Amino acid sequence: MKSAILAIPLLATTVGIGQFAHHVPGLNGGGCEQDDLLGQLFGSGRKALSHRFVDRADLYFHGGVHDGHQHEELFCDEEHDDDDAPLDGGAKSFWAWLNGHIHPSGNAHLKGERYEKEVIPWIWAAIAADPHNVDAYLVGSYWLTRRMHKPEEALKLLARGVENNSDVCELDMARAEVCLSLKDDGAALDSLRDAEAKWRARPDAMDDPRSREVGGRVLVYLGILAERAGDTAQAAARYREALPLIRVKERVKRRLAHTENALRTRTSDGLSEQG
Amino acid sequence: MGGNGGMNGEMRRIWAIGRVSMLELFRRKDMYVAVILGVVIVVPLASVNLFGIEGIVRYLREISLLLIWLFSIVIGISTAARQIPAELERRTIYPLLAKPVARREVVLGKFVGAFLASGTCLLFFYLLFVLLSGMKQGAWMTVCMFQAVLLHFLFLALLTAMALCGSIVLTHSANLALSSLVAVCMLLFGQRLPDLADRATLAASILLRAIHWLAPHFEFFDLRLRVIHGWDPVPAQAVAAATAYAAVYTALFLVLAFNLFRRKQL
Repeated sequence: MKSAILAIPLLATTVGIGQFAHHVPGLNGGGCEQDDLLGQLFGSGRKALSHRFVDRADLYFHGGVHDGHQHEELFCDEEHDDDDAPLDGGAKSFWAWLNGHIHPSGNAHLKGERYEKEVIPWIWAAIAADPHNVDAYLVGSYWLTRRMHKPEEALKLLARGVENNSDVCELDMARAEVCLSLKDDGAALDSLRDAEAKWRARPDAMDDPRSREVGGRVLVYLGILAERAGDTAQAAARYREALPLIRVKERVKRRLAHTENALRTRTSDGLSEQG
Repeated sequence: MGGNGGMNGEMRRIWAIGRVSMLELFRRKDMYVAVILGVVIVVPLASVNLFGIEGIVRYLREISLLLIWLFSIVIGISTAARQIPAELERRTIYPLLAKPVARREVVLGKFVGAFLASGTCLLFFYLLFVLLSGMKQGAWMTVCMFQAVLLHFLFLALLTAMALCGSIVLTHSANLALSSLVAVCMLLFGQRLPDLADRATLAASILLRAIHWLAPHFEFFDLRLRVIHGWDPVPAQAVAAATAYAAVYTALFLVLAFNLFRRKQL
């Protein structure tokens, strides 16, 4: 409730000013001017507020109750056991007993599209509060594509994300993933090329573990698209470059072995034809 | 048992005092300001386009219920806290006590007035909430919702009794600040007081435990989480226990208020 008390007036003001800025000539379009106006008014508090909203989305995913699990469930397909916590808590005194009954506890997940969509307003609010919160775009894109089955909305959201965070390769990679799910290889390739260029331009591309992982994934996707286009040599080169960067190597190793085999077969076929 | 005596006469006098307090609230227009403020915040939020997804209600429920709670605390405390000080300030308490009205009846009448006035506001807020929730999702009055309204009324009775009691011993602003602080802090931290006491230093731990055992636990009446996220209703025995708890604490505050008012030099 504490966070909600703080959040409501701030959210209302943010939304109000956001709407106002949208209607002021010259600020229309949601670009830098609007961002500056909000930035001047709220400063770094916006970032904290935006992250609180993403946390709130996670809280909603758990039916409004924090169960102590700290993993990023909002952003993955795996679900943990729902029956591992008692619903009424440990009742000791009258006070604890009554609190245990009044306030829900335990571990519950939103299931089904009807309920899962309830996290969406908080992702929207997180982005409205801070358009530079990259995680909010990524969570929103995942949620809209995988859970809400609205990839077109996810693409619009990511386009806004790229517009507001032009040097962040993760957003281009997320856009490519959505395009791949729509079987739009051309658009996916364009986004992956953008992502690759931004990743290579990063000073910490090879040092930061998260950055290495992102770069590795971009290269794997580029390899897959090259393979689909019949360019086995380029695919193998991409997989080879991705292999040391990526954490879970098995699939990439298999893909690399497959493409190298295909290359060898093609080379030997070519030699035998020449012979 | 003459015309002014007996249980009936006492009830009539308490009701007469209460009715005046109730009418005063509607004249002051506090409720209308709260409703307008609520509508100004909730309606734009309800009309936001959330990636073209329809039928999202929980965030609206959360914001609406938070506003209802905030407004009920503000209206409940401010209404109860000004009852007796306003009578003293305007010197209308003297003609009132010159009538065959006991001081106990004045305190009870003021409590009834403050509770009914803020309770009427609360009922109106919940009617709007049920209307909004029903139109947005088609879910009108559920069992959990009914329990939430009932417990909120009990909360209000306890809160007004506490603020009324405070108004007899404290200055108006001190009473407003202290009552709000107690209500909000207990709503926020009441449930976690034993945990906080376990982790505190010895002196702080004793203080926190004393607060835990003695202070009114306003959080017992807050069912917002259940309503927002559609959890199951509270078991009947827990509702009964919360009702008994509210009755005991309200009675304690009223007895204390009566004793303080009886000894007060006018």
